[in-house]
Amino acid sequence: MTDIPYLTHLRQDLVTGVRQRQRRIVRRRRAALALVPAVLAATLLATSLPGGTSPAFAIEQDGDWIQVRITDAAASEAQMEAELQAAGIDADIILAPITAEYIGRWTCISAETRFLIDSMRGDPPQPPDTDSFLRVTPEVLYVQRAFTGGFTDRLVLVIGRAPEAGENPSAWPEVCGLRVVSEG
Amino acid sequence: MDRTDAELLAGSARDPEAFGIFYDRHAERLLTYFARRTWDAQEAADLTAETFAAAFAARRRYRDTGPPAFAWLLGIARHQLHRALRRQRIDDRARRRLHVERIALDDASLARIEELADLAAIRPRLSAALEQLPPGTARAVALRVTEELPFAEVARRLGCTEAAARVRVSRGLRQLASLLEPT
Repeated sequence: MTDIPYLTHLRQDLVTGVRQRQRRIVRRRRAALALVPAVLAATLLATSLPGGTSPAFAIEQDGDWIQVRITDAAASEAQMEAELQAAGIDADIILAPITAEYIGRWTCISAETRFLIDSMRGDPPQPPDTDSFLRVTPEVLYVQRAFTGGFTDRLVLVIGRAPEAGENPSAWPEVCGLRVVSEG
Repeated sequence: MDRTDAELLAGSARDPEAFGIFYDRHAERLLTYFARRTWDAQEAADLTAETFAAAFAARRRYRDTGPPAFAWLLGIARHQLHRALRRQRIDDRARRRLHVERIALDDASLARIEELADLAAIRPRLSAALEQLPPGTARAVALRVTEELPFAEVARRLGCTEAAARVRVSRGLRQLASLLEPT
């Protein structure tokens, strides 16, 4: 226990939050069970028709490397991030308006280093050499499998998209804010 | 017999009070950890809240394979701290998922956190250490850490590239760390 009022208050809120979350889950499960027949029917219908949600990436495991190809550049950033997350790649996707030749292609990557406060305690932890762990061509992003478990900082992947009405496309490599990886 | 941290985490979804017991074991230490790194009691409090909420979300990933649960919790804490420093704001997604509102610190908590983290003693030592750095390096650290400016702005004010600003801040912090190391 603690003598800090803030911590007592926070404990109460967290435990209440966990309890209410559990109740929400139970309610959702009951509601979902009631909907199973309808969902099954809708799923069968959706898979039999064209135009269903398609995966944004084709992800292949190739030895020590994971290869990621863009299959649906019109997918949302959230869908793309979720698919990468499922493959063990924790990254932020940015869809950037770009000139025609880079639409739907890998445009640049950046990996920010961790630093600052930990460096107060000694040498700052060094991120893996990104060139060794990540490679990109406009068609394929290669991520070394070891990278997925050993690197906890922010990885940003930029994919080119068509500009919307009134939007000016950026040219490559200006679209890359931090670090540009050549076409290699 | 007391339940282990692993048992508490594993049972916390069905038994919310188990998460409360896990919290009781580590909250004060975690809050102190953050206070000593941010030198700001409210930021430390916000980071503590987000870290526990994130720990609950990640509880299934904890494996009781030797390292104590606090080390695991500290891993989440470091991640939160780095994100906060990079993005110039403290994440609140995990806390919001649990519908936990932000709590403003009351005076008693503020004073107790400062006392717990010994912040009053650290501040003069830090000021003295900053004065020992080369002026350019000290200014880079002050702009980034004290004024919390993004690196692009630090670079602009120093009249150098963003990469050079990052190097200066990193180098300054390393020098500060060695100056603040207990002898």
